[in-house]
Formats: sequence, structure tokens, C-alpha cells
Amino acid sequence: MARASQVAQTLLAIIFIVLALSQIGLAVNGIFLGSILALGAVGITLVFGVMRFANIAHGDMMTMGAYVTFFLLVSVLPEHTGLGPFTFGFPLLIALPVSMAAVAALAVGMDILVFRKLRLRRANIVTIEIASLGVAIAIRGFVQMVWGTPVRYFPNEGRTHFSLPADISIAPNHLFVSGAALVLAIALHLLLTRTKQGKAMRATSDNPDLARASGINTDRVLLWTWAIAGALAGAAGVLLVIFNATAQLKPTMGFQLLVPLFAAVVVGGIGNPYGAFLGAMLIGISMEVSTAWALPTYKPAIAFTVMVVVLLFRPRGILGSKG
Amino acid sequence: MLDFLTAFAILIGIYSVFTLGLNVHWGYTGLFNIGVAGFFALGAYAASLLTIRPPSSDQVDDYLYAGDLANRLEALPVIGALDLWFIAGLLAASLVSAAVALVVGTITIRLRGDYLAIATLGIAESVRLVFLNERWLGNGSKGLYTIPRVFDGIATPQDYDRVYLVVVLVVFLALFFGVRALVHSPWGRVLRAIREDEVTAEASGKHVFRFKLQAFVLGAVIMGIGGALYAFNLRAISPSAFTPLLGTFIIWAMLVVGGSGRLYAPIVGAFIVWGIWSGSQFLPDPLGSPNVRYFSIGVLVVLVLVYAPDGITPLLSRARERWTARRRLRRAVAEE
Amino acid sequence: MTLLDVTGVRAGYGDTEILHGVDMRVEAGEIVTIIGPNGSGKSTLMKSVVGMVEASAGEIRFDGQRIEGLRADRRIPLGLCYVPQTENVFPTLTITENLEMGGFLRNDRLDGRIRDMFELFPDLAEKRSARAGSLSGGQRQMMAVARALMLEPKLLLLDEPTAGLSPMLMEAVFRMVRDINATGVAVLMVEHNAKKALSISHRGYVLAVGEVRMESTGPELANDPSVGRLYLGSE
Repeated sequence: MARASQVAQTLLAIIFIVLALSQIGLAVNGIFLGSILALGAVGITLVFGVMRFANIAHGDMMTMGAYVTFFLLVSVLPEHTGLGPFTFGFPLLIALPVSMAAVAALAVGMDILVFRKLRLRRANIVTIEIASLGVAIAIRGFVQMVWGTPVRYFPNEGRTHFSLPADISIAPNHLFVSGAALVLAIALHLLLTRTKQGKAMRATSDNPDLARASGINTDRVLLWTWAIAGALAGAAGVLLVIFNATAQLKPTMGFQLLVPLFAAVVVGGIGNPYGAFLGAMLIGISMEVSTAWALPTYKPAIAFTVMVVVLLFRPRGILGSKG
Repeated sequence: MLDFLTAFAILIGIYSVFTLGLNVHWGYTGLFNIGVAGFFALGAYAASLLTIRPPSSDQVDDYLYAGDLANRLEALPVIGALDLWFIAGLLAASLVSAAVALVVGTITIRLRGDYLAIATLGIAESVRLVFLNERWLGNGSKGLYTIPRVFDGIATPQDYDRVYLVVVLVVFLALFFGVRALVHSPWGRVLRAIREDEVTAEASGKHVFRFKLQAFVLGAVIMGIGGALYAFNLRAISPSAFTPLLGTFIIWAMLVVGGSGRLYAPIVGAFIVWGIWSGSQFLPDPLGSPNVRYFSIGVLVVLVLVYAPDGITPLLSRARERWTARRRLRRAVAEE
Repeated sequence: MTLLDVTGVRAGYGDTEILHGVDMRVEAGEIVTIIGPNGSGKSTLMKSVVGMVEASAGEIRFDGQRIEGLRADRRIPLGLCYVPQTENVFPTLTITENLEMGGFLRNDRLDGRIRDMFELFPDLAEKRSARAGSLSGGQRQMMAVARALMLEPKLLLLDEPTAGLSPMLMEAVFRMVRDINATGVAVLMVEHNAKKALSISHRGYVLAVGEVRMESTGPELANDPSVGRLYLGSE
């Protein structure tokens, strides 16, 4: 039985690799999409690690990040596009960190105003989860009240793609997206493994009672976790806009990514930030490669299917250890 | 005005049906389903595809849908006040929802609660994408808009909505009393035991998985019937009606506001939330915009969860108790 | 000098009261063992001392200071460290990181104290970069105790430190408890393996249904026939 399952898992891995290699151009795109998913999924998984609930508002936090940058680019910062090979201008490099800070503040505010109150009342986990659904809808409503429902665009100018052998063409923006995601991922890794606060986050995720019994102020760890998850979500939202060829934003952009994001979290092993990265790459590549045969609008369904298949063989995800 | 109130009441009735189904899932069993829209859509499309007629020639000719059963079969008769096509539509909706719930439930109910949530969300999105992309099945993004008036045989066009309101109420009450009887039965007691403490319920020899699966299928069937009622009401459906917001969140809002696990929560919640949702369009402009509605319903749900975790229903009954107590006191004082 | 002084403590979970007014003390430098049947409230007593369960009534003094109102992470710095019975390490953190978390509240460099711990537990030194989740049962118990010792506590609370260990490892754990005590640290432990534990203890308490039933010196309790019949099993 265990043997058969191993054979099946190996077969699935081989099929995945063969399909990805047969559509190498799409697979490369999948890595870019995966790096955006990773930033969102890591936030969801970090929050899950310390609070044990899957934050449904995470997609809309990404949306918020994108719109904060939109606001800064259009109303605050000087007009400029076409920085180097990119479609956007240098103001984006200023707007990106500001948006990250804004969404981090939003996330901390959410915890203080909503989730902490529910925690103190010892509310059921699912009640907290429904509250996060309410927060998600409220954030979307706020975005629509301020910026309206029609599609908006970052200021941008058209750019040519880089051509590589084997029919791979890469948009310069995509390189920026994955570069930025990589920098953030490395920063997060260093934070989690080299700093006292980061280790305390991992310790709290492992065993909150023992963390308290070691003198760690877990309430403060929670706020840190929200801030980091929020900052990453803000960055993911901005990068999602740049990833799009016409740099468009809409109020539903984050919520629509929720199924792929959750799929990435679950596939990697819920609660494990490294798993979330792996899961995001797997989901991102699957989604893009599938467009060789299926309509692109089916991408979320593909993400969901991959998740179900992985769960059938590994109920705790690929790198999951917690029950 | 009367017409508006009738339409308003019909929708409250239909949303009460969805909320009743969700109450079976979450309120009584603790199953976290955030894919109500999936069963909603399945029910609506199943009933529509079974009963739909081809468009008349002056309508666009690239109108596509699968089945065309109503034309191939001899039309079912109307018996008394019952149009059998309507009954057949509700049955089809129930069957399709039950089948999908059985498959999804079997795979995911054993997993922890969050996974069921993600799975139901994924299913709901997948269902919507199938109806959106597979034009041959349900006419793609334009949706189906030739769903027949199933009660034409017994109602004049002017009376149609009022007759339909009665039908919706009859269906809702039947489901409501059915659920009430089940909740008070031994089966319902086991569900509550599972909800309170799964480990103990398992230890006392109850087959937890089977009970949860039965409840999941039952709730899904109720949601599917709600979908069929919805389709026969508007007589036009399209994938945009089944987005997570309109198809799932608003129903959760109704259950939370009404008070999950309480018998009357579906009606109270549907009345309040649908009242705010559709009443706010009459407000002066910045407040009347649909975007303000999204925001205020989201905030309402959070406020209720934080400050009135049992919903509005217990507040109402407490207010009534206080009122009667005060009246009794006043009478006692007056008598002295 | 009395290090820990518990008077009339009531505590429980939710509406269920488990401790119905417990009096107990630990003097500086003592080893004190609490024994009692399952469900007598031994673990609850430990948890209310460290602040993981709130006491609904009564007084807990540590080093003369009242602590029953403090949050767990405010009690630890006073010098009491706790090793739970299960889930007592951070499984995805390395051994070194576990020790760093044990010393979270220290503001000095931890290297010296970590080196002390590795000297005390040479097994751990060999595996310092391994994840704590990969340790064997005995090593894990050593790891848990080492983590708690990082803050150089005055009182170490051990909840069933030998649960699930082989007889040989049990011996090692009791030897370790004595060694730690020899450095001046007082130890309060809950033990199932009562005879052995009482024999190395200065004093002992017998807890039943949330109340203290007997209190005496360790060896005396270990040899008391009525205690033996009731709580020590057939050993």
C-alpha cells in the first residue's frame, strides 16, 4: 500500500516535470506567477502558524496594496514611466515599500480591532475565520468606494520582450517581479533564522504554550507576524499589477487569487513558510502550463485540482508536519 | 410598491432557504462551507436546464444549452395547483447537489475544518468557471434567459409573482419544519454532540464521519432547492450571480446576523441583511451606491461576531422578555 | 527560606474546578515531589504555579512576591521555569535554537550558558544543529530540561519527566534531577514513578481529587504502606 502510493507519487512528479518541460515557455511564466503567489501564501501560512486560522482577507489585503500604490503613482509621486526596460517608472520603487508599510499597518489594525477581541473571548477558530471573510468584504467595499469598480491602470508604457532560445520570451517586468520576490524571500528567511524575533515567531508557531512558558510575549509575536504577512501581501498586490501586461487593477483581483493562494499553502504543508514557497511554485507552474490545453479562465480550477491530488497522497502537504 | 414588496419577500424567502441549508452545515454540525455559491449554482442550472425551452426565433440564434429535455419529453401535466415541471426542477436540483456534495464530502470531511472550507471554495469557483466557459452547457457568460414561467397554467401574468411568493413560502416552510423535526430527533442530537465535542462523540461509538456526511448532503440539497427557486423566480441566470460575494458571503452574513445554530436565524438574518442590502439602494447617492453596501455588510458581520456572537435572534427574544417583564411589573405596580 | 508558597489555591478549566484549595510550599534548595492518581490535579497545580491556568482563588507567592495575577511570561523572569510533560520542545527549531528560546529573556550573550548546557548534556552537543523533532525520547527530555535551565531558575518545575522512558533512561533522568539540585536549584516535580521519585526527594505531597491528602518527607511517604497501596501501584 505504502509502496503503491510512493510509485504513484513518483509518477505524478514525473508527469508534472515532463509537462512543464514540454511547455517550457509557459513553465517559465509559471515561475513568475509562482513568485507572486509565494509572497501571498507565505503570509497566510505565517499567520496560520501562530493563530491556527486561514485568513480569508489575505487576497483583499493584496488588492489594498495595489490600490495604495495606484494612489501614490497617480496623485502623489511625480509622473514617470519606462525606467530602464520596465514599463513602470522610478516612482514605483518608492510606492512599493510605502504600500508594504500601509498594508502591514492595516493587518496589525485588523488584529487589534477584530481578531484579538475574538481571541480574548476564546471564540471558535471558524468564527475567527468568518470574521476574516467579513473583513475581506469590507476591504473590497472600501476599495470600491474610494476607487470605484471599473478597471484601473498603473501609468505604464509598452516594452519589448527579451527573447531567449527555445521560444522563451520574457517580459522585463517579469524579471523585476521575481527579483523583488526573491529579495523579499531571502529577507524573510534571514529574519526567521537569524533574528531573535524571527526565531520567537517560529517557536510560537511550533508550540505557543511552551513559548509563553519560555517568557516569550506571544501577543507581541502575533502583531509582528501580522505586520510581516501584511507587508508581503502588499508587495504581492503591487507585483501582481506589474505582472499583468497592461498593468491593470480591479477590486476583485486579490479575492480571485484566493483559491490558488490557499492551494499553494495546503500543497506545501500548512504552517510551513518554506512549504508555501514550494507549493506556490508548483501551483504557479501548473496554472500556466495548463493553458496549453485548457482555457486560461480555468486556472483557479487547475490550482484546486492540483491541491486535491496532492492531498489525496499527502494529507498534510508536501513539507507538512503539523496535525 | 406592492409589486416591489412581493419581489422583496420572494427573495427573502429564497435566501432563507439558503441560510437554512447553511445552518444545517455550520449551525448544527460545524461544517465550514464557504462554497454555498457552488450548490446555489448547481441547483439553479440543474432546474433550468431540465425545464428550459428554446428561444423564439426573434431572439439571438447562437443561444446554446445542453439537454433540451422539456421539448423531447411530452410536457408534464399540471395536477391541481402543482406544475410537475416545477417539481421535476426541484428534484433535479436536489439530486445534482446531493451527488456533488457526496463526492466532495467523502474526500474532504475527514480532513480538518480549514480544508473543507478551502475545498468548498474551490468547488464553488470551479462550478462557476465551468458554466462560464462551457458555452454548450449553459450559454456561457450570457447565461440562460428562457426559463419558463412554470405556474402560467394557474396564474395570470399580473398575479404571477404573488402566486410564486406563496410557492416559495410553502417550500421554505416544508424545509423549515423538516429541519426542525430532524434537529429535535436523535439524529439531530448526535449532530449537536459532534459539534460540541467530536472526540467524545466518536468515543461514545457514533460514526462521526457518516453523520457529518449526511448533514453535508442534506444542507447541500437545501441549497440546491434554493437555487432552483431562484432560477424560477428570475427566469434568467448567469454565472455572475454565483460569485463568492453574492452567492456565499451574503448568506453567511445572514446566518451570522441571525445567530448560527438557532432555528429562526435563517428568517431573521435573511430579513435584516436583505433588507439592508436591497433597501440601501433607496438612500441618497453616496450611501446608496452598491460599494457602500459591500463595505457596510462586511462591517456588520464583523461587528456582530465581535459584539453579539450569538446573533440578533437571542437579542430580540431577550428584548421581548424584558418588555413583557416590564409590562408585568407595571401592571403589578398599578394593582398596588 | 520559603521559595514557593501556595495557599488555598482553587483552579480549573472553564466551569470545572479541579483544585479545591491546595496548600503547598517548596523551600530553597529542596526537591519536592507531588504524587497522586490520574485526575487528581497534579498537572493543574503545576500549571497554575507557572500561570498557564488561572487560579480563581488563593495565593501564590514566589520569593516573597505574590504572582497569581501575573501572566505566564511575566512569572518566568522571577526565576521559575517549567517543563511540560509532553510537547516540551520546539520541534522544527534546532537544538541550539531551542536553547536560545529558553534564554529568550536574557539580555546578555547566550553562548556561555549554551556551552554550560552542552557540558551538562553531552548528547545534545553532538546534535546541536539537528531539529529537536528528530531527537529520541530520552534526548528530548534532556533537551526540554536544558531549555528550562537556560534562565538559571531558582525553581525548576518538571511535569512527569520520566513518562514513556525506559528504566535505564529513568535512572538517568533522576540522576540529572539530583545533579541539577546539587547546583542549588530547587525542583518541584510531578511523578508517576512515585517510589523512585520520593526516594530522592526532600519532601512529598499526596494529591487526590484536588486536595492535599498527605505531606511528609520523601522517604517516609515512599515507605508508607497506605500510600503504597493507594498510589504507588504494585511496585
